[in-house]
Amino acid sequence: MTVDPRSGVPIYLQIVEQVKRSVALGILQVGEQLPTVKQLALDLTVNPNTVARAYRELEHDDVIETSPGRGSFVRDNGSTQSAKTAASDVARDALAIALREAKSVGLSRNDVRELIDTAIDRWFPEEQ
Amino acid sequence: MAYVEWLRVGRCLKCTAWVLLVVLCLIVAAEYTFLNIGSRSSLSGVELHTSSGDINASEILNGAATTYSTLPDGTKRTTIVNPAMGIRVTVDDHGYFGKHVEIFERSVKRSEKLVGIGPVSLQRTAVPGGSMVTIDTNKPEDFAYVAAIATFIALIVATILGAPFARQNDGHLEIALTNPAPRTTLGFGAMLADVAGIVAAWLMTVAMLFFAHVAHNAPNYTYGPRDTEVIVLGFAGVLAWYAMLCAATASLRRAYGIVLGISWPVALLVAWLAKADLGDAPMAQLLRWGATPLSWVDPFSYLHFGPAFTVNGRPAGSLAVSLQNELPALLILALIYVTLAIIQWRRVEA
Amino acid sequence: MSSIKISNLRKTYGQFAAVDGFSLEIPAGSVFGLLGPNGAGKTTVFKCMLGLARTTSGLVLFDGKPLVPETFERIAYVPERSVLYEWMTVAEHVEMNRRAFKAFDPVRALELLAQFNVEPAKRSRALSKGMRTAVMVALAFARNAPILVLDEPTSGLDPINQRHVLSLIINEAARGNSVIFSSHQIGQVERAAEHIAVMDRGRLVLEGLVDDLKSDRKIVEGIFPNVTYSLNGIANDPRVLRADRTERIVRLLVRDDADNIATMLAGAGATGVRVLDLNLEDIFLFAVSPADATADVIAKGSS
Repeated sequence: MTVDPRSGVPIYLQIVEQVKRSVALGILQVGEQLPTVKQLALDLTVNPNTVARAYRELEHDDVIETSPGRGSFVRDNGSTQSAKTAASDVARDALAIALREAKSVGLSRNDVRELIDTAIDRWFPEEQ
Repeated sequence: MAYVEWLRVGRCLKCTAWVLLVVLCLIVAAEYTFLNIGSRSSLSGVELHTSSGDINASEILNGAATTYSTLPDGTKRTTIVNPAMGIRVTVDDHGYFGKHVEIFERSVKRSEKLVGIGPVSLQRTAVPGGSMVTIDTNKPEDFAYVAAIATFIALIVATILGAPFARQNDGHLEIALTNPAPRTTLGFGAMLADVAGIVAAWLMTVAMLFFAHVAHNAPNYTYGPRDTEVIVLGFAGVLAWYAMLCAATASLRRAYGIVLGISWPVALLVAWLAKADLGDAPMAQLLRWGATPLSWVDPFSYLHFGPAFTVNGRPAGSLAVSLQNELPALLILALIYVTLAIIQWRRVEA
Repeated sequence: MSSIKISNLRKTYGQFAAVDGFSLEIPAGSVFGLLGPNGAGKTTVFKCMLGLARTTSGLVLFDGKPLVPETFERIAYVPERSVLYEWMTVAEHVEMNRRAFKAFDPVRALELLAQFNVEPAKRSRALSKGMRTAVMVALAFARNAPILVLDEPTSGLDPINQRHVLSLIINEAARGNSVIFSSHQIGQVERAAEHIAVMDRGRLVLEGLVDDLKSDRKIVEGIFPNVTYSLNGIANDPRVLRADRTERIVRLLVRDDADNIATMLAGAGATGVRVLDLNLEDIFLFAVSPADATADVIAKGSS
């Protein structure tokens, strides 16, 4: 995991997104323990409270659960379910940015629909 | 912060020790060369006025009859008789306990004051038939003489150490001022370290002079109440001097070197101007009028040490003026200066 | 209770006010970054905080109490320039700290010095500027003090040692201690600090949580079809901090609610409306640069 402090995205959000992506991609398995707040802070060289805030967000989004004294673990609420939720979040955010960009350069609804169809054909060819 | 000052004092004392060691070696070498009385080279240091004119004492050996004997107490006696010049020399060598030389000249009836340094004394007295020059290499020595030299060295060390606050101000205040101990405590701690160093330097000098003496001669010091007065006044003077330098530099950052450097010339000048007889010209009166109040706060004006030389074998002038006025004045000055230094230092900003 | 509370601090040198009405509250156990251009007064704030300079007016409280010498058992300070004694060795400085502070850990100090590659036997005058900073940092962090005040703790250090210092700061934060530090390296402040304060010309111009500032402050950019246009008073909206325009491009610096402002801008006729993120450097530069830094500023109250 890496964070870019120079980015305009707050560090805690970067951590949240990266954990969600890791869960979606299976890099973080269900039930796997996340590093402690202090350890992750030192590894990433970021403020521990930032890490703590990220963990709170992840817990709020049902991605992880924290037991005091034991640590934080990837949540086990149906493996495909949590992975899918995580993946959906990531994809949805990326889509929103893409659509906003499209709108800002002046594409119409139909233009966008065409673009998306072309993209789906390219990325999900086997499901035609 | 006192730890830092102790380290600084240690460095200074190490330096002082080396210097004293070198001086010790020089003195011992000089003693060896010049106190070998009876040899041609030592006699050549003495001028004699004889009927044949002023001659160098070593010329006595030309055409003289020399005899050697041993006295019952073990003293080796060398007798040199030169009938042509009318001179008779007797050298009594007591070995480690010194030499006693008598030079009798038949035809000169004169009484003069000659001088001595430390344990060595020369004097000329008129005796029936001529005059006698007496040289002693281990006469009893007033301890005050040693104390005076030690005080002088202590004054120098006090001057070197004399700006503890300025040295902190010069770029290290952040360390001193973020200390859990109050500034006043830190200030006193530093000054105490310096005073301990000054006392150590005094003791080191006494030790050095002692060793310089016993390298050739048996120790032969006399010690009496006057010597104690000399020591006490000396210390009071050094303390007051050190305190004055602290007060003068407590607010400075860089310029303390200048202050320390001009301290001696200025203090000596003020002390002298206040007492010197410069006549009654308006300029002289003005100088005296300006110097007198300054001399009241100048420690040097209270330190009177008579000359360390002897005249006719006795100290010339008193070695210390009575402590009655000088001692309280110096102690009060020390107190005032210390207070001034601490007050100033408490107000310094980083 | 806040670790440190600074109220209306003012410090004048003659006529010049180095610090002019500065107030700040540093919560316990937080890392506070103090940013500002050169000469903004950051070092003066530190000096006044620690009693190294006499404040002209204002109050500084540590855990609710004014500063007394004993408080320094709990405060470790790294000054901006080297205050080491040139003639003393590093080891002697360690000993000096050991005698001065009860909680000082000489073993930890030597460990930290080794991490920074400093030989304890060397005299300070033989050390480079960066190594002197490293020594002061090592001594401060070996103090185990609950409050650390660091003035440019990475100045002169190579990138590896800079990372070391950062890790040390983060470690202290993880232990629950407070750190307030000033730095010109905005990237470091972004990493280690959770609060920042920006100073300019003796005054506090910006304060807040780094994450919130980054989330909330955005640039809303739009392009108008013609050179003449009206913003419908958007520039007067209290959420708009600055409005710059260059020919047909308008950039609004918004304090929060960027999406709404973007919609408003689109409604005023702008196309290609985008919301741009700001990193801390951008936020800092906007905070300290004069309002007319860019050409043709739309003053508040017009259009």
